[in-house]
Amino acid sequence: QERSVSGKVVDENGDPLPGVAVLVKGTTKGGTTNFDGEYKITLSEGETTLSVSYIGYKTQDIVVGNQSIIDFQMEVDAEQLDEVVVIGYGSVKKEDATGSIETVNANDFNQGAITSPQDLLNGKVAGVNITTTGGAPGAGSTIRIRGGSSLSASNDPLIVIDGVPIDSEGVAGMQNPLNSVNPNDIETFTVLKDASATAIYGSRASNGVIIITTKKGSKGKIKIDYTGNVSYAVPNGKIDVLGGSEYSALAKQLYPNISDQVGTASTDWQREVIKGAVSTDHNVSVAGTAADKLPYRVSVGYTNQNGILETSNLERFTGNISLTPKFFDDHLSVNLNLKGMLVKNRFADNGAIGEAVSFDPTRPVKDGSPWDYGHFTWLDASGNPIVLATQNPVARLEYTNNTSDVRRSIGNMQLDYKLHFFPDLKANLNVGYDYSWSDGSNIQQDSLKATFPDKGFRSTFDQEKRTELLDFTLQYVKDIASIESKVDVMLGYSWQHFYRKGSDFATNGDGTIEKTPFTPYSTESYLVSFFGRLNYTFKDRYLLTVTVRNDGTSRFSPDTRWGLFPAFALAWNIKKESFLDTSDKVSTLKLRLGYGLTGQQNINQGDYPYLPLYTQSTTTADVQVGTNPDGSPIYSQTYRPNGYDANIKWETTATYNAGIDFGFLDDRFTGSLDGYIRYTSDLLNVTPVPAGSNLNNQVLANIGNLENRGFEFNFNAKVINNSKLNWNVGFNLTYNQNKITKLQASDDPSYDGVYTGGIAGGTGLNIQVHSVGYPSNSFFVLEQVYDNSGKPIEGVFVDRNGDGQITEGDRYRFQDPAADVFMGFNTNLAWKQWDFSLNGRVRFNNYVYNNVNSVNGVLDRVNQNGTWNNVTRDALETGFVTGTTLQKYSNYYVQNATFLRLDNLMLGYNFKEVAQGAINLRVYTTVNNLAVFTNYKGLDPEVDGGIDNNVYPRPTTFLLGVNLGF
Amino acid sequence: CVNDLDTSPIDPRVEVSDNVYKNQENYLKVLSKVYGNLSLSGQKGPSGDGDINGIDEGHGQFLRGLFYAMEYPTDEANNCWQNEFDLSFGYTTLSYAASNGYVTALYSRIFIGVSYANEFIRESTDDKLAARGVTDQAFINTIKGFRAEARFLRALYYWYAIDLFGNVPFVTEADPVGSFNPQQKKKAEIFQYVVDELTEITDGSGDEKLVDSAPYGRAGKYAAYMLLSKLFLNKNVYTFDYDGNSTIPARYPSGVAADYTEAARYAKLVIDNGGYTLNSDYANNFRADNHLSPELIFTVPCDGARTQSFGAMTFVLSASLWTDWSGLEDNYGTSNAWGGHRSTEEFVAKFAEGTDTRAMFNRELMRPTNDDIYDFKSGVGVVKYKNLDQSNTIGKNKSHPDIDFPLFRLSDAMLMYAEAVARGGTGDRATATTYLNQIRTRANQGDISDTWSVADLLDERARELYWECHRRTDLIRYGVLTSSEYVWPYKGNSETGAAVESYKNLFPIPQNEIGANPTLTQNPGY
Repeated sequence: QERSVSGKVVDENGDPLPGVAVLVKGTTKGGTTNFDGEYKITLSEGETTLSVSYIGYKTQDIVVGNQSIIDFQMEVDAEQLDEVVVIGYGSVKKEDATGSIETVNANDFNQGAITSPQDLLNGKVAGVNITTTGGAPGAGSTIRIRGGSSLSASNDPLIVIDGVPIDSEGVAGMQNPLNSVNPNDIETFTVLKDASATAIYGSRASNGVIIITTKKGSKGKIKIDYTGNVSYAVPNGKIDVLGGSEYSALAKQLYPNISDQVGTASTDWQREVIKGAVSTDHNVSVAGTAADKLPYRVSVGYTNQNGILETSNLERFTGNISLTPKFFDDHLSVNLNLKGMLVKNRFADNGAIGEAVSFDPTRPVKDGSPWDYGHFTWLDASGNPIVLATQNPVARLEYTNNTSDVRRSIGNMQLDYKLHFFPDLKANLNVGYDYSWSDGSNIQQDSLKATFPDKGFRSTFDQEKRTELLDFTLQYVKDIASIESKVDVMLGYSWQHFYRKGSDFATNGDGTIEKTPFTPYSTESYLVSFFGRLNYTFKDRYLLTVTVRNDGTSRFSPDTRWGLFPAFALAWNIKKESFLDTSDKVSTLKLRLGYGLTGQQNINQGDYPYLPLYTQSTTTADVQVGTNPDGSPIYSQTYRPNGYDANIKWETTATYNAGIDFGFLDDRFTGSLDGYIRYTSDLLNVTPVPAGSNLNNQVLANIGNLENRGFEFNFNAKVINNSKLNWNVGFNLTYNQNKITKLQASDDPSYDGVYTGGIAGGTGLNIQVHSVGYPSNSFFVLEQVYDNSGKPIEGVFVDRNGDGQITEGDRYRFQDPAADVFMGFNTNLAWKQWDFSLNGRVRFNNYVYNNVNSVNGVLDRVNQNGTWNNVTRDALETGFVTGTTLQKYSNYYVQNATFLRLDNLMLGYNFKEVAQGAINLRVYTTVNNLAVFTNYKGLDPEVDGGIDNNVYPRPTTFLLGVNLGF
Repeated sequence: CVNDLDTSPIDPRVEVSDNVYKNQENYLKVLSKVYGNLSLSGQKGPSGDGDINGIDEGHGQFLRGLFYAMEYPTDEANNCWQNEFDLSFGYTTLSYAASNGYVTALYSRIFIGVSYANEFIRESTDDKLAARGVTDQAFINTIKGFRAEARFLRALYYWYAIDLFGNVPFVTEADPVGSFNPQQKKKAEIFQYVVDELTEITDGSGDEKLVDSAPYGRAGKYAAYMLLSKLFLNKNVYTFDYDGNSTIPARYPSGVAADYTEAARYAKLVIDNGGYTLNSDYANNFRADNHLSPELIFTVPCDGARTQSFGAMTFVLSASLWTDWSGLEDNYGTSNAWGGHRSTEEFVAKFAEGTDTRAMFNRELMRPTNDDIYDFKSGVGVVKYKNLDQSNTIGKNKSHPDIDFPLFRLSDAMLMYAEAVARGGTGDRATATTYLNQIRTRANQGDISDTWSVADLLDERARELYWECHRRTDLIRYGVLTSSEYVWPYKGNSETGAAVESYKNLFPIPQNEIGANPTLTQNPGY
């Protein structure tokens, strides 16, 4: 007996959903919903269940019973949405991906007081190591994907925002190039790690690619969201220095004859300059579909972040418009994105941190001094400030006004056109721009000791940057059922122009002496590329990807400017083999193999390294060439011929990657494991050249090789997953080892390498070295000798070269700042209307040079240059007196900074029945930088670059936030 | 489109070399950089666009490096900067090594000077001018003069190269710019090349000639004669071949009379025909307005407004001052007191203090002992240079003095004449005695005894020329830089002084250079 069932299918907003498959379960019988979301189906005897499915939504099965009208409301399936991953110039279903790619969605972002996009991602992705430069508002960070592949060229990944690759060199006056995107507008981060994934970006892909996709308009009725928070940042410990009375006792013991000079106050200088700070953040977004035709999303954001170092502040205004209409029966998709922002920074001089450490604690903050506006200042016999004495840090901050205004806009329009007469072929045109204009000034008041004897200081800068982009791709996708194959071919052309100009100028306070002459600059570069990609799928489970990109850069000579970057990847989706197809236990299993070449042209050495260029001098670098009849001098500007290498070319990185993706028990447990080796050759390196052969002593040239090898593991578990309680756990681990294998034309074993890593405590002192056979930035130190009680003996080191004396020749390579292993972990728990999450990171065997102690941990600091200074407690522990350069080079100060940090903790509550369900209200609280566990002797073990000196301390931040949705 | 890749610089300060020479005014600007290598650290004074890499810009300045090398290993000066002392420095104790950053920087500076000179000479040939369509004969002649100056400067740089480093790589304008390994030549060969070049641009048959009377700050014929005199006076050092026996002697074999005759002849040409006269006030040679002094033959001009760096005279002056001395600005024209180099009581004892007007020392807060090499106050302050003009007005800029560094001056020519004659060169001893007495009279000192000897001149040179970058060369010529015959505090890392290995008579070829150019042979001992 046949009967008919009909109904309507609507989406999560109640809007009709056309094209939904409505089938009799277990058969192919059925059809799809019409434009109004309606279906009608005829059931035969024994057919009892309907199955309704649509991409992006959860499949629903319903027993028909005796109903004749059944309506469905579809539920969004977050997992299914995940399944499409963005790759360069296109996207691919996750199960068809062949490269090492990871995606992090908004749901999984780190929570809390986060103003910079990369903080959303920190600790989430294996192989991606993010270190902020410190706790300053809007602080930048260093992002390393699978270690650095370069030495003097950039090691930053390419960042692509909504299809616009942005210039990694950053914007003047902004510490963090990523700050131009409001974190609240970000939908996903996609990280491309191996060469088979990144090679489509050719010459810019050696250090990985991060693709940022922003939120878009939604279907259906208008949705208004407000998120806002207020947070309080609390200083987190202090550098351990002596207190007033303790210091006073030490000073009297060390200098009995002049101990009457010691003061009587007890000032905690670090607490005078580092204090709790309140910040707020507000965002409103409106999303929906206008006139049923035009999906849109508009958002505005306002952030006001106060730093814990007095006077530091960031104020940011952002606006974001996204329009995603479709035309001509969906044949033409338009994707328009416009972002704008204004950042107003006030920077605090980090030097005040070091000054607060070393300022004499027995002095008051203010004593009515004629200098520093009444703040205590060290004066000489004639009442002038002592130039070499420590500046009063409170006065420095208060009377320095270092500000910048940055305006930036990034926008693009993508037209994706499916040919009417040949719908297998799609054409995509993407035009975009990135424009910024920034200016700023640094004014230090007259009478501030730091500016003596120049009567103050003022500098200004301005900068304009423009990037223009044009991409055009053609994509052909065809299922060829006859040979069980699917072919996806993409061919593309890309053109990008980078332009920048600006100027710097500085004088003393009254403008009578030029400190930096007015120096205008401008420069530009172009990249032109042709690229293609073939994705071939055989039997739905054997996958091949071939990409090739031919890149041309204006930075190299016509003979060397074109580079060809091919990549190949194979994947085997084992899950789809018959023997696993029906397995309940193994839900995902895929093997991946990849090889590819990528390049590097981001050389950090100007845009014309191959041309013979002359640079003019400013008016302060002229030369006298004679005398006028009246006796006045005649000056000539000078023209300097600059060093260059006409043969300079791409640095090339070859990457081998092998990986496995797995999932068990209907993907309750998922994960992946990747191993890789990356060989960089023709390293772009500023290297000494034979004297006399060129016009500089060091020239950027392609000399050297290095390699990175490592593995990555990540694992996610849905430990409990039911309607009341959800508990997920995630973990990732990365091991990476970096080694330089060649540095010079000839392999001279006595060559130390390229010194790097300047330290405080003397001009031109370097603590690190790039050496053949060692990781880049290895510490280059003397081996400390200890006494029987384990105490270091001042000035006594191991005579490693056995020449009977301790000299620079006794230095050796001891550890490096990069962690051997880093891990990230996160967990989240949802119970009824409560949710909770916790994230943390571990770094293992990252070493830090404790420059704070190497400068301040010596007793002679107490009285130096006729002034008194505080010392760190390390001075008492070691008993070091003079602190010579030899002592600064001691490996005693290179300390293991292994740590576990709890980054974020969040607790939230969702109010369901607000205004009869018309309003979604969520209230939450977070703690950022909850705790750090480490044996490192300094304030914070996480130090960008591995030299701990004047790092802006990272606070612990408590936040209360609210989300409101209508 | 693909043609966009053919870019050329759009920066207002940067030009492709072909375009530079389209404008005739630019020839002088390029030549000025060959001079500027002596006084500047980069193209953005005082700092910000350094010429050389791998070292702090101010530390890598030529004159600063020269002062380190010529003064700190000697009895005249020592440096107390402990931060720079042990590992990277070692100059005061004569314990410099091949990886020493300052040795590397000075070496680089010398050869960058050679490279700048080669570039100008290469780009200013008759053929190049003709190819650029230059027909103006007056301009062509001017360029020939410029070429002679560039050749003089190249000779000057090569002189410093063999004086400090011995056998060094040799490149001329005939070599390309690029990556190749310049061939190392024996210092004797380079000595001969330098002499030939200087002879050619003064008395040669070619048309590239130095003028008799050069504009201030530039090299004329007498600067070349001065250098020729120095070359011949030290010829025994510069032509000694140590390759065979692999040791460098503490005392080089004596020179031959013919060489001293040449040294005396060139010195005499300077004295008799150069038109220079001794400044009646010795101190005026070292003031902010010392360009007015009739005694200066060749200087490194510095200027508080136009020629700024953190090397050159900024360094020489500021590093000699102590922050707690009273009246810094009033007495020395700057309050930037870095407390770096000072002298010792042992050295100062060479002067008849109180009468000798050349004795310009400051003992305020200083201890007479040499008990602490790291403490500026252990020793005697030297305040020969002042950023004050003759009427004690402070120079244009309190941070960067207007003092020009006196590389060659007349009294040096007089002392060289006397020494060359005394060492056996043809000349007139009575005239030499007159010169010595002119120098001594100006210093308010009595006449020298008729029986003066070569040995007496070493001390006279110290008194007259201290802190002018002559001392190391003088001590080597006298065979006492490294030997136990004459020691001074801190020599050989001893408070009272000790001999050091004789190979320290030469600095090492920098380790970086040995790695970059594997065809080079390191100096013995390093």
